[in-house]
Amino acid sequence: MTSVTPRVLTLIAELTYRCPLRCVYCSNPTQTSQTAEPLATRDWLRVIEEAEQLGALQVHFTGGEPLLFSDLEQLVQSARRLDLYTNLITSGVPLSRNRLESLQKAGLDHVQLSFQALSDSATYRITGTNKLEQKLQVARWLNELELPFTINIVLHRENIDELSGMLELAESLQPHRIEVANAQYLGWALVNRDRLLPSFEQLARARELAVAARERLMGKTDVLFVLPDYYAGRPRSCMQGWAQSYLLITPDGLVLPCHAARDLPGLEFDDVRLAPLAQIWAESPALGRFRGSEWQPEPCRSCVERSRDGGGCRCQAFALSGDASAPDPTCSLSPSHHLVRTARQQAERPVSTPLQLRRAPQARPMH
Amino acid sequence: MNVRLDQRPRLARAARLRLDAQTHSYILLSPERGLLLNDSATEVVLRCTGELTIQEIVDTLFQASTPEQGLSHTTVQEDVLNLITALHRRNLLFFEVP
Repeated sequence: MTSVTPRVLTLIAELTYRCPLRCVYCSNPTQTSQTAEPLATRDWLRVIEEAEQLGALQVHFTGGEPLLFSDLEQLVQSARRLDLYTNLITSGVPLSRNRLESLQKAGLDHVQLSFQALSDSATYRITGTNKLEQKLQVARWLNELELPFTINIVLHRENIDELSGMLELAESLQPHRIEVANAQYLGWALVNRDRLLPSFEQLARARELAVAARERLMGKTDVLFVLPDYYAGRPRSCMQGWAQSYLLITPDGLVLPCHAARDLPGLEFDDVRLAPLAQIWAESPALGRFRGSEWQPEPCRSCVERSRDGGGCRCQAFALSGDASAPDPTCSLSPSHHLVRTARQQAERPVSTPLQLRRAPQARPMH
Repeated sequence: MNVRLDQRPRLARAARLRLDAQTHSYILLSPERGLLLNDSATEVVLRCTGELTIQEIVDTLFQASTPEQGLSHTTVQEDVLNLITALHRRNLLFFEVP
């Protein structure tokens, strides 16, 4: 553990696990039953205030679908009063123009709107429903209201061949940013990996399209492209380090370092209702477990690149090798990298395994 | 992407400047980003309101500099143009149409 407690920069508020879409790549946990009652609005207001005191500059309202949280406006208003940059990460469902206007009045800075696919068939396969028309409507409202937004496209084998058309559509909606982010293979994306991981060739083509869009739109719309770890050779600096600058609160109040960590065995994450956030951030044994570099095994420990990626993603290490403290297997220097190579080889041959639509983690049974 | 001295830079709607209590510096916030500005960058960004031309910003900052800083007009102009170009490329700053 490091002796100096790092500064929180971003609060990720997962307001609910409920969602009208059932995306096959969802980053929500696949197994967990929720252990406690959902946080109440007053708890969220306290969390936002205490995160700001710890240094947070940004808050992401996400889920599930954060629009299903009825007091969202109140949370936005409170965050904005503390001068936090407020970002809504949403499917755009369910949303009316009126509600969008009241969110804007509450001080919402930015909306990140997800697009899954263009064709009806792909959209159904990926989300279990088709809300494309609603999403286009939301994008038009955002433009009318001059509310800055990002179009977020999560890329995988089921939509990668539609990317050209999706970029064209996204461009026509005049967003502030277009983010083409490959699925990372955790949560539901890992469950469905055999169907979702693209081939090397598909990925290379997608990257060319994104780079071309980036050149074409420079100075108008920022275009980002994020590789899947499986093809990157080196791991991402996941969350910029375990419990370093990101702090995530689950719908039932757990304080986590990232979206997936609650499924790691042997770690007891704290309920934010039971102690001040500052105390949990500084003293939680679970947050301390992989903070800094003391925990790192070889070859990470003596690697010249260790400060760049911090050993990669703990959840990915656990999901693939069964050991959360192992080097991230997506790193070509990891002893378990053959697992990733095998997955890539399989991605060269299309498979017909059925896709599993996401199910929300079960709510705690009522007493 | 040519930036001209007669253009009037203005921060993008998605970008917001705020003072940071922990570092006592200004931070330029945008979606998922925060850019910690040093004092001279802050002086430039505070003037990107769509009212002043880049030339006017350069002249103001040059006149406000002290002899001890030893800055030439050319250096100030280069620094301002570099910063404004970088922010424009990242879509954080636009130019008012004259």
